[in-house]
Amino acid sequence: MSRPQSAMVAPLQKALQSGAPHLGLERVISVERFTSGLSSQSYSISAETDDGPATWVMRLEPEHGVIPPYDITREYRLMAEVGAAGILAPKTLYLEEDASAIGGRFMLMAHVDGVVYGSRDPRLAEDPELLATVQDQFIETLARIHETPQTVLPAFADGPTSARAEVEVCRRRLEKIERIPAPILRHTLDVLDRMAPESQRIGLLHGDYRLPNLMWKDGKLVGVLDWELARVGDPLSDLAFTQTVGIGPCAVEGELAQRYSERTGVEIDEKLIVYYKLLELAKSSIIGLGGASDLAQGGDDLRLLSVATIATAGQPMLSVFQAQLEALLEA
Amino acid sequence: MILLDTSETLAAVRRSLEAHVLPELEDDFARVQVLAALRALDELGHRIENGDPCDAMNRNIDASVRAVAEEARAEAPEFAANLNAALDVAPAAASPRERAREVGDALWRLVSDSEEPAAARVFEVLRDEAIRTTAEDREWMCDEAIASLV
Repeated sequence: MSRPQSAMVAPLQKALQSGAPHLGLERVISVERFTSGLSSQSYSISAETDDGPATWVMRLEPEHGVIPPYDITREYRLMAEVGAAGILAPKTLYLEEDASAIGGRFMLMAHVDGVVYGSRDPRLAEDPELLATVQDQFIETLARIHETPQTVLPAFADGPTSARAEVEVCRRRLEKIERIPAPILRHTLDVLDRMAPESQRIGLLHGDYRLPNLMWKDGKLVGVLDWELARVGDPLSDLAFTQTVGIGPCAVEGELAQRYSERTGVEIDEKLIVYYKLLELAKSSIIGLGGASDLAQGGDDLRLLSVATIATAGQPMLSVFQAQLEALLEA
Repeated sequence: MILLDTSETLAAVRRSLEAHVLPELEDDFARVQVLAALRALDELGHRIENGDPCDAMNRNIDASVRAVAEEARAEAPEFAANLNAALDVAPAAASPRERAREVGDALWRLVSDSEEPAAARVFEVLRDEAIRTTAEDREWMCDEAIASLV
């Protein structure tokens, strides 16, 4: 889904003509907002340039939302850096750091022409050959992301530091958004803090690595989108994400996990996977609860009520994973 | 003054949106906002008929924790007194959610680091009440809203 945003056309054109002369912009024809996803506001921009018609994607840093703190500058720099390292992030074109230009800082990137496969996409279910090639590239790209050096995000030493830091981020966020007591979630965070594992390796994590964030053309991966949750940590965390929040035909488990392990040399300890699955579920629950908080702060997207409802109703599931983790790690 | 009862008013608003607004909307995003609004109205109607579930949660926690405190009074009088104090931490005029948040937070601070056997029982009360309160929450979820986000 997308929606026309005619009021943005003129200020965006002015901002790009003065700040990004390299684009050769003659006029912005239309601005349409994508309405899927919970992340930064994303828009499709149609324009005329001195090279002819152009289509770009703009990401606007929102004032508030469910995944704060937003930092479009960090996202832009990281995408530029991983792109230069050969990862298929959309090409970054311009960063506007003056929030007054169009009502928020924004970045412009190249439009990636391709298709997105959903988590239960029938095209993959019906075509085993396509599924196999998608899975191959899914694993290879994830491995390459984990191996990519970067200088934008703060690093962590090996050991339990990165997991504990994530738990602490969750705690601070929960404090801000908890509207009725969430004892299961609080207890889960305590357990995760107490059981924070030694990481065998630390690397760049995408943080939201799932089929809906990948673009494909003729069976080839052409774009890795949505880098706003990228961070540095244990690669097993990204693997656990594909088995929980990002579940689908590319969940990195079983044979796919073995292939990832052979490719990277990372040993997949199932106990640690259970730990990171619980952490991913807790994070996802906190993001969902943020939906209610966002509406209370002036947000106007009523879909967030349902997101918060899912997060609330799903909390008992955390207890199940938590018991499984405690039994495994204390055995 | 609207001459209808609150629940009658909500039901009329719901019917109006469903009959006259939804069919006219071609913009998918606008449609899903209206559908989400309809689910919110449903939940508000239920709240009017059956009371605010947050109120019920507060009452249940209060009664159960006071019972735990009473049981613990002989062996751990200070802890029992702290439990009762935590239950009284919210001002009388607090809204149900403010009360839930303040009492829940005070109880959590008390029990999360405590080795007292009563602390584990209070945690069970909080956990069980959270599960009970949210058990039927999926009923109010707007499927179209979630589908549009994926």
